[in-house]
Amino acid sequence: MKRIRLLAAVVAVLALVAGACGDDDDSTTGDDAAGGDSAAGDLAGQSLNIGSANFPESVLLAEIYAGALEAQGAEVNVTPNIGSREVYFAAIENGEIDLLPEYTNSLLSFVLRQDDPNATPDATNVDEQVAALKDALPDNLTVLTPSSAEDKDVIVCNQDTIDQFGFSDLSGLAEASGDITLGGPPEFAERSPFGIPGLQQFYGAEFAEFVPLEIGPPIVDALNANAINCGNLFSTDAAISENDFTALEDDKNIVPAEAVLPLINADKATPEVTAVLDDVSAALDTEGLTALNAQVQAQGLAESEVAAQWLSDNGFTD
Amino acid sequence: MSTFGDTIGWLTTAENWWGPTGILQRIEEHLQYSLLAVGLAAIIALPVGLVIGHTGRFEHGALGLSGAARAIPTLGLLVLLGRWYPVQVGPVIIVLAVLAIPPILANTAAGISGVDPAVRDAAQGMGMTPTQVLTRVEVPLAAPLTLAGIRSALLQVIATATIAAFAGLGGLGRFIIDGFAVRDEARVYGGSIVVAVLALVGEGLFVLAQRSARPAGLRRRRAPSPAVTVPIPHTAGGVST
Repeated sequence: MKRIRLLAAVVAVLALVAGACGDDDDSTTGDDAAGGDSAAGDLAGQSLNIGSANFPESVLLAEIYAGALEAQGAEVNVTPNIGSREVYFAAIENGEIDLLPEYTNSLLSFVLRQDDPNATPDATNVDEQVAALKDALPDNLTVLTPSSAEDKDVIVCNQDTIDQFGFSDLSGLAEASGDITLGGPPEFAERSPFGIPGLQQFYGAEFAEFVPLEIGPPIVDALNANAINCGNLFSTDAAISENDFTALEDDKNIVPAEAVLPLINADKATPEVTAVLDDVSAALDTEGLTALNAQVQAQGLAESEVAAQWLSDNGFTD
Repeated sequence: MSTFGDTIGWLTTAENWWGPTGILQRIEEHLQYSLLAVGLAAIIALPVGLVIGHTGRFEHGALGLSGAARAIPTLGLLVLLGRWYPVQVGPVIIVLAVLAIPPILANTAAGISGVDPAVRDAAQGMGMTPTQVLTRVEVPLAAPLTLAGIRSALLQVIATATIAAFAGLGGLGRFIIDGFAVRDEARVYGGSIVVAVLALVGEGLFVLAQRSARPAGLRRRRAPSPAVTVPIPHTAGGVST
């Protein structure tokens, strides 16, 4: 009975989504026809709401997924910058969003914690993580083939701090932690293993102060102004090398593999959609992703613009 | 559990109130930012408002400018200043003061310029110097309106000071932003309720202060209230009591 009601709800949502997208048909058909000469049109009639987390790389990946799917004739609707995982996961779980770029370990940790707040993944390599994800995700969600591109959380420190304390890994940071002001997103204060509780548990760190700041420019600015000594950035962030920050080695491996992969509503993962997204994942790698991030961050190009160029360079669009 | 029940639960849990990240500490930070901002705004807006109201010069220019300043998006200005001075209290105080200046300036100028010319003449006729006319007649008569301006500024600033949390600082905005980041709705709503209550309590205290600031000569009269008896010519907006 419960299952039937759920099914009815899913059907109703799909009908609404299809209806909503149908309304937009008239305004976009012209564009599709113009740009879709070589597109096989495999995905004609399929529609996807694509979302992203609230940092530039996630927006960029969402735009890449959207562009690749659109080039094959799908109707796409991108909602960038939805928020933290806690926020956007609820949106994809309840069907408001169909597809999101994700990272293997962060997603797995999050999903496991939904059932048990103290759960931590056993899986550390990408294959194990993907298998564990398919097992742990709700029935209406699945993940596709991961790319080799990996974007781990990393703690970086500014040059002044490195000059003063001379550490190069998280164990060294923990020893000096009583003199360290650390910046990270608000949720960093409360999550484990990669967060204040995890750094305390696994490295014994007790930081002088924690400053809640969004990952990206706010943390980079605060590092440059010495308002914080160290902060949480992503390993593919071009700002790390541009500002001579030092990324600390995670010598106790609390940050496992973080391969980029699509998280998708199972009903939307048709063979055609899967094939397109697998091609995108195969074409992405870590260096390439760092370079794309640099275009967004250093050159100030729009994510959609950078995504369009990459799609064209890699033969996904004309 | 209902969100309402969770929120009540959050608000009534003792450990949420105490400690370095507790509600009491956040209220203290929140009031610090708010009072510093309104104080800074008053230091700027009161003298300027006095001059404008007393001389009647620059009325349109200054009031127009301060009215236009209300259109500045507070959060946008904070992000801009925060790029140069990250995680510092200065930008927060400045953007909140920008928010507080227009109501104080407009009400002060309106209060002074609205003093009945006959009263001013009488004061001069009694041999008062222009300074005495200003300090002994115009300022006291304008005080209720001026205080109303500060009151509305304070209310607005307390309700807006949650943006300090965007700059990595404290204040009650922490509960809203951190709660949202970890999807703890009880914390978001609980924090919002504390902000609203704090703003209303500040408003209430000010109403009492305004009553005691009403000039004795006007206080004896039962009705109508001074805001009505003082004619306020040519003042576009910003007058509220």
